[in-house]
Amino acid sequence: MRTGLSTLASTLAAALAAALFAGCTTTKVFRHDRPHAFAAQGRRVALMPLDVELSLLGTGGMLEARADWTQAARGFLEAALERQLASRRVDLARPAAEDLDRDPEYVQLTKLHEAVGAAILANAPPNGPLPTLRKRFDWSLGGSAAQLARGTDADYALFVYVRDSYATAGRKALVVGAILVGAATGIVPSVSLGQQVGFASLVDLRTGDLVWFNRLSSETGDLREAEPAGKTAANLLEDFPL
Amino acid sequence: MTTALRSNVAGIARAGAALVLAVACGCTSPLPNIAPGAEGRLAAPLDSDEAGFWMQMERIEKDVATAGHRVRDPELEAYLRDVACRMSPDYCEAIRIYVFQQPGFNAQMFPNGAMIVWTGLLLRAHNEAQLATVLGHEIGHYQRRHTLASWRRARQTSDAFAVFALAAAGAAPFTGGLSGAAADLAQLAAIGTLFAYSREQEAESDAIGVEQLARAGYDPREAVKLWEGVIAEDEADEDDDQPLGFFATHPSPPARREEIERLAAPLVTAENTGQVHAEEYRVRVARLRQRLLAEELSLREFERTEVVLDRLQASGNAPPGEIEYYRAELYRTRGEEGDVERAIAHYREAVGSGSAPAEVHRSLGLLLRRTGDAAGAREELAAYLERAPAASDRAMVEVYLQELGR
Repeated sequence: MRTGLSTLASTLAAALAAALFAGCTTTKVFRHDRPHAFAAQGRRVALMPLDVELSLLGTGGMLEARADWTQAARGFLEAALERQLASRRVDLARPAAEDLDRDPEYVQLTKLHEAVGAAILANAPPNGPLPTLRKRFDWSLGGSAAQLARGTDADYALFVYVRDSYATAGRKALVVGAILVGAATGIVPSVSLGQQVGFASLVDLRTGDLVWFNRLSSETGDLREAEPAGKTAANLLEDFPL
Repeated sequence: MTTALRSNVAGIARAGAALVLAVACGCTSPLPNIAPGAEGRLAAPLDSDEAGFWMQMERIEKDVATAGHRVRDPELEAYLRDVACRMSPDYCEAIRIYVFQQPGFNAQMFPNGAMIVWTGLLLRAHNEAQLATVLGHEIGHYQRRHTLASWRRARQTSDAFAVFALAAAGAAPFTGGLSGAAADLAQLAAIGTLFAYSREQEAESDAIGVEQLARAGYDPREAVKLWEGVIAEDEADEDDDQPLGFFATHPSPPARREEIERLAAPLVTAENTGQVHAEEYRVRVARLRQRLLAEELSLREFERTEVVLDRLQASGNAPPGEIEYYRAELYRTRGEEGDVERAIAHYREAVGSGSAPAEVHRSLGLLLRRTGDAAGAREELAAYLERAPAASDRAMVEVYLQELGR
């Protein structure tokens, strides 16, 4: 009986610890295999329209996109990125999203970048890498990349992609339930409380090469508020080459 | 563990399954119509699930608008829009129609008012009333906010199921795995309710479409004719792999046709016999028709295409030479026993009718060349170059003519 109780207690403690301290933030920076001479090129960067979406994570795990949160987060992130890039003496350009959305060539290029970004995320640890991609980072959008920032004289395009989700009360209750079930059976059903994933990607507009790429994964940080959103922006710009 | 406890826990598992079903089948009251918003702007507050949905749809619509297979034909888009507005004046401002170059009978409605019409639909509808049937049906989905309702239902089901699955996992050591089977059953039942829900929505949209047809002055019986075409195609298609029964998201076409007929009958009165606007429709689509037929043929769904051609012929919307030409193309492409002879016969019919496209001579010439009829081949290939002197494959055809000994 005594052993039974202490096993239960230690399982509970371990599960709680896992739930509480899982909230770490990791970033992983990649640079293009072909060395890029940043100093030889200008410092004008086109900040592309941010691809951000915040969702509510339901009890059963379904994501509900939230327009209000997304709007707020996009504003906070944009302001923070502008501030932080300016402090790095980056010359910022802003392509006009409204005109670009009707330009099929631009839309196709952004879709290509989206696909490349998704492929990098999928192949970056802990998911990957695929054996054939190990130790290689040679992604490129190709020579037509300049079309991305037409009319801005930019040297680079900076893409930012963020997806974040926040658990409902029901979901949080389910996690508590899962810990209790884990205590009783020894197997803790895995229930996520939401996750922040994203990347920032710097594209050389002359070659289309992704010269710098930073993947972000975090279980903490609330993009719905200015200060933590600023921290996320800083994490995204970690080791930024300009 | 005692048997009593075991059966108790099994009972709880069953009760859990019942709970999942109760919530899933349940009985969320239908949503009110979407507000006839001005220029497709959503009236719902920004923090609602619907606003989140719209945000996602706006991104998808951007892809739709710039898709490579979008038919950028302002005249056609304007016509479709006019018909949609005639069907549903309240939602006229809220609907945006895109045409996709895609054979097959389909149209899709997004919850934010974007609609995709497949070109294959334009081949299957033979007058404006039949086209309006589909547009009205799609607008019905928008008006009744079906996607949102489905999504809410799916979320409820998934939430209830997560709680049940966790309870089942907790109970597993006591129930000896019985709850696993119960969980599977509950999941299956939950999925079933989602499909059934979708069937209800299709029926509701059908009803809205028929009612709008009559109100807009169209003959609602044209909806029945459109469905007869779908049924005829399904029947002709022997290896039809559409999911049926439990997993079917749409009611079966015969059931739909029957229900639409029942709804349409009382709407046809002495003073409102309804219009079909056949000529106007024919003129609008005529320009595209050959391309639509070529696309249709590219599916290699020969049995279905035969029905499409039969019905198009019966409608009188296409000249006989064109129908015969594509019939011949169908047999030539299919290449089954006897198809070469069939193709040649239909090509000759097409040539004889005088209303076939110039390509009929090329196709017939090449086929005759294959069968060893050099004189016949020569005659047809020469006729092709005569009718289409600027043909892009002129040089190639001239090589054939030389080979055949002009």
